[in-house]
Amino acid sequence: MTNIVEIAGLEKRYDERTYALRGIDLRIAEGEWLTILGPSGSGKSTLLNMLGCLDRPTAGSLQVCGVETSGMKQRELAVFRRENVGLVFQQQHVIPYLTALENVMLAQYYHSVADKDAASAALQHVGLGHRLHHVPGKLSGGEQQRVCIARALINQPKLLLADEPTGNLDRANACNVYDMLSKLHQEAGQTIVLVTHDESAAEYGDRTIRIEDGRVVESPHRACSVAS
Amino acid sequence: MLSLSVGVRANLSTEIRRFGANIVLYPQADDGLLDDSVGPRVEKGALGSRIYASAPFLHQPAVVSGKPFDLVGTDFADALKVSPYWRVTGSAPTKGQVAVGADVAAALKLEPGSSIDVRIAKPTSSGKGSGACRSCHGSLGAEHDRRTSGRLAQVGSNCLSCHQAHPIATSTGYVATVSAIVSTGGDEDGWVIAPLTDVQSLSKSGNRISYLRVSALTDSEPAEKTAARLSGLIDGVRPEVVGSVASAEDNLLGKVQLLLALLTACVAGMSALGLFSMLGASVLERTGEIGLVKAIGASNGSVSRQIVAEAAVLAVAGAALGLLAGAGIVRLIGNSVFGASMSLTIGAVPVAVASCLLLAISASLAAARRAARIDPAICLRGE
Ligand SMILES: Nc1ncnc2c1ncn2[C@@H]1O[C@H](COP(=O)(O)OP(=O)(O)OP(=O)(O)O)[C@@H](O)[C@H]1O
Ligand SMILES: [Mg+2]
Repeated sequence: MTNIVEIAGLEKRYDERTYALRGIDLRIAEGEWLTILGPSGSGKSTLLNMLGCLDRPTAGSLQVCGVETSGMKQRELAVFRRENVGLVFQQQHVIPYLTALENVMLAQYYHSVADKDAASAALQHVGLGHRLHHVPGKLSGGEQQRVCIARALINQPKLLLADEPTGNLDRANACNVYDMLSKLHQEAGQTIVLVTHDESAAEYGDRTIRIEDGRVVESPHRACSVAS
Repeated sequence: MLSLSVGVRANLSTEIRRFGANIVLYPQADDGLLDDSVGPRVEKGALGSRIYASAPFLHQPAVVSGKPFDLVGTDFADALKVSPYWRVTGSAPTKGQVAVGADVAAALKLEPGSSIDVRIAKPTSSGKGSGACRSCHGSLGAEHDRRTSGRLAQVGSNCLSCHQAHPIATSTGYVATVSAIVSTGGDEDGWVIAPLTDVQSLSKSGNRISYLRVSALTDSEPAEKTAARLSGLIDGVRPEVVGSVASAEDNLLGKVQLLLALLTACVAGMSALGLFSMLGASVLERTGEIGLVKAIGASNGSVSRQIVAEAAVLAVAGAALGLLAGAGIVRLIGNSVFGASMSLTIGAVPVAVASCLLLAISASLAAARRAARIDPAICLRGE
């Protein structure tokens, strides 16, 4: 099995004193669902930013899909991100004046060309086939988050990154979103990295790591262990 | 605004014609006279549209109630048009009547209704000049020369040869009624003004005049140019530009136009500032949105293009609205300030639209640079 992510000695510090990450070594296999747990301020989002090419590390190496991204320029990162990474955020980040369908098509537009059929199929896949033309204001939080998932997956990214995707949702909606992700993971073998506070969410994944103060402290389930 | 600053010159130019004639047409020959058909030819000729008004003047040295003054024949209504600054008390002189200058009125203690005795000074035997000194019988040439008398009506103060005070030999005359007193603060204060035909028949000058005063509009070309073109158009005339009026006029027009242009620039600068801050604020307001589209793959280029395109659409809409409003305002100003109808200068339209677009695009480029600095990672952090 190939590794889609290989991280060695990854550091991120914002200034002299504030270290967000203090040397992370991590491998993520293709098709794996990795859950990252940790207290607030431990550096989970920072790590995910690195994986998603939204930010650059100050030291260490970072390979995503076999490409070293730590030295890339902003512009190259944007292109790489567009091609390889899908992002789902804690807030349901959707453009409020565009319909569900248009929000998904926006990602297609910036990637290549907008394809209405593909976009509506993606929404159908997340169970929103009947709400294509609703604006986000008329959708529930869980539904909005599913629009975000459909948008994140529309360009077939190799890596799906989710930062507390259920942080804003109630139990039922959260379960709904996790079920959705499980389905994608099992049916399509989607690689998922999930950051969460929610211990119970770890059950959906193959493997869980904990981060504290910018370091990986333990990796309890080594079930789906890494081979290089 | 731009239209206003162009149009204001045309309107002010008409307004300024109140200062008086800016061109005088003299006969080409030094001692000749002009035909009085020159006036209509100037006003109705090829340059007619450039001419605001013209008035003929015929000067005759005369003795009025025993004292020497210039008798001047003119069309009183036209004279008032080329010299709107004349202050007239009484009514325009008709046949047999005269208007007297303020100095004449003071010297002879005249008021409207008074009667005066008007006599033409007798030409000398030499034929030069138009009067002869009674003491030495010398010519009163220089002072009575047609050219100087046109401007300085220093009729017969002293004989140039013997320096004796006149009297001057006179010929035919008539008794005229004073219909008005004209006060100008200039040479005309020493004139006795009669209808042109009265003076022509009294002096047996036929249909001749000494010179034609012309009031030309100077909005599109300076008076010098109009003068030069007039001399080409009409034979036998020698146009002279009244220097002080013409250049002061051009100067004033230039200054007013410069002032308006500066004002226009100021307004444009202010709107640019407004546009800069408005577009900047809109980027700031949409930080989250811009961060999001960047996170899902939008490049800085595509975000910038969108911002510039939005600003361009705004600018075009703004320019259209501005033109409509501007046309209304120009008309309003034309009516209230100049009492003339003034409309949008067509030439100003493309300039205004282009500068509007230019402003909008440069302002939006600044906003786009700001948008480019937005970090897509803000989406991962909470608000
Ligand atoms: N832009 C920044 N400038 C300075 N410090 C930052 C910046 N972003 C994050 N940090 C710091 O880096 C550390 C890790 O932040 P990070 O957002 O990764 O934490 P987290 O684990 O995601 O926390 P949470 O669970 O609350 O989301 C924190 O101490 C934070 O204050
Ligand atoms: Mg976080």
